Amino acid sequence: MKKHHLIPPLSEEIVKSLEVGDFLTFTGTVFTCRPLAYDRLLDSKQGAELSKRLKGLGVQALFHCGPLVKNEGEEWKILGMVPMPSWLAGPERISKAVDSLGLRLIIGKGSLHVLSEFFVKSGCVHAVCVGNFSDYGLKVKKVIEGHWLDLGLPEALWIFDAEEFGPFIVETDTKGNSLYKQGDETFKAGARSVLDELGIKLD
Amino acid sequence: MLSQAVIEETVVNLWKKNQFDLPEDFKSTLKERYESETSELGKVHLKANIDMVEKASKLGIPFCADTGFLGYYIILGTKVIDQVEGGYKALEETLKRATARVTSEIPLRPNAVHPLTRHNPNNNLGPGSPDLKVKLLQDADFIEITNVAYGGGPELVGSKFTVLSPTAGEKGVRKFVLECSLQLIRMGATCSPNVVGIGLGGTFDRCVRLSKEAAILRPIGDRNPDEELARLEEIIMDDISKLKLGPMGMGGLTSAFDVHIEMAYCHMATLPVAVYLQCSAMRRTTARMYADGRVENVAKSCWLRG
Repeated sequence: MKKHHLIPPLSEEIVKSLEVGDFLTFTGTVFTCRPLAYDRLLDSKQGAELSKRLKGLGVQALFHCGPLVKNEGEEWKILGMVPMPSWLAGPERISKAVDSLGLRLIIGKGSLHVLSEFFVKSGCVHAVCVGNFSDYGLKVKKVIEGHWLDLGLPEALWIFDAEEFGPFIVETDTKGNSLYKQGDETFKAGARSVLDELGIKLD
Repeated sequence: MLSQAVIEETVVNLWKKNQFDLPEDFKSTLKERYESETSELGKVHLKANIDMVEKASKLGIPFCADTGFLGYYIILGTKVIDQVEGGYKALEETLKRATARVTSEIPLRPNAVHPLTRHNPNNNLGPGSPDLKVKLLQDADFIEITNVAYGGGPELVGSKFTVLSPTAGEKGVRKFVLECSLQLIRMGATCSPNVVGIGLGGTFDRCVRLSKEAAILRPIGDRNPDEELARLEEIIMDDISKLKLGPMGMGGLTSAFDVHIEMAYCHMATLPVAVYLQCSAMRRTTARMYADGRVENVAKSCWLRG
């Protein structure tokens, strides 16, 4: 397994060098998105304005996360971050966001193998977090902006700077591979005896 | 007289304890499984958990940023019930106040929202939030409160209910639990390893409730006192381990930490089964409070066997 440290701007070439199972860290600007923020981002006047802002900041990385935040006077502080399952956003929202914002890195949880063909075309990868919970929140340097707090603090869209943010494991790369899809073949072979005994058929 | 002030402070402290640190059974199991895990990625995941718990307890921050949907299991001893200041209504108000207080003070993530409008009051209060469950315990001279936080993983994808054919038997139950584990852990849908809680029998609502209580209120390693159920717990644990789905479903020996079954009689036309996959971010703490204001932390709630 290879290790990469990514610093924006992320070219298509850099992203194409990432392969499933590789570890990566990221130093730069990231924004969070959950389903409510996705819908507003992709389908409203406010969304068009914020998209411009994100492009202006050169943001290429999206984290599927509702952070634990704390208000300190005028400032917001991120105390903790755990991922939301990426499939919860749904392939349509994700592909639309990648296309319209030119994203190169989606961070989350679980498999996005349903988007593997799309990632080949778009030059973007899906990476997943380590652990059930980890110290990502402690690697956030500064919250740049929090938008749409009316959606509730976890569902709001947070833009932040992070340093050595990670590690993340590449789950779906630009070559049509998925870590979970690959692992699934090994798993099916190994689990045969117990599945047969109980009459369980897998797709 | 047991004052509401003592209850509030106790409950706030229970939250701090369970959000900043894992219960002992989870902590030691995590370390044991990290040692015995052979998958490289599996080890990475378990190590991340161990490291984060250490950091969080030192810093006094929640170890999992999904600080959960907050709930209380309340046991009212009949000998002390008339000595609670303001009675049960006041106790309920205290628990709500403590919930909003820890949400802003610790802080916890405001997770409770309206199901349709998605309105979030940002204080974890609303109809059904916090989740309160109450039982009476004959002749007990204490009030026991267990604070639990239900993570989004188990609530979103980690829970299933079905009614099997009445004669599906043990094999039918094993098959359903294994199908759930596959569906939920495979492809990393929910955070594994889990404690698998199984509600066996009961009415529709009781079955679901038992699966959750089995997963959350019994420590890892605890076996059902009914020998047949204890045997089935071990068989199902073995079934799930054979899948080798591993931490976060990326392969490995550690797919589940334990399997707990709670049973109740059901209508003869049915065989209800519910499954609740508690993630490794267990937030569970219990304290007993006495009429003289004494507070005692206890390792295991008497909710299931009181």
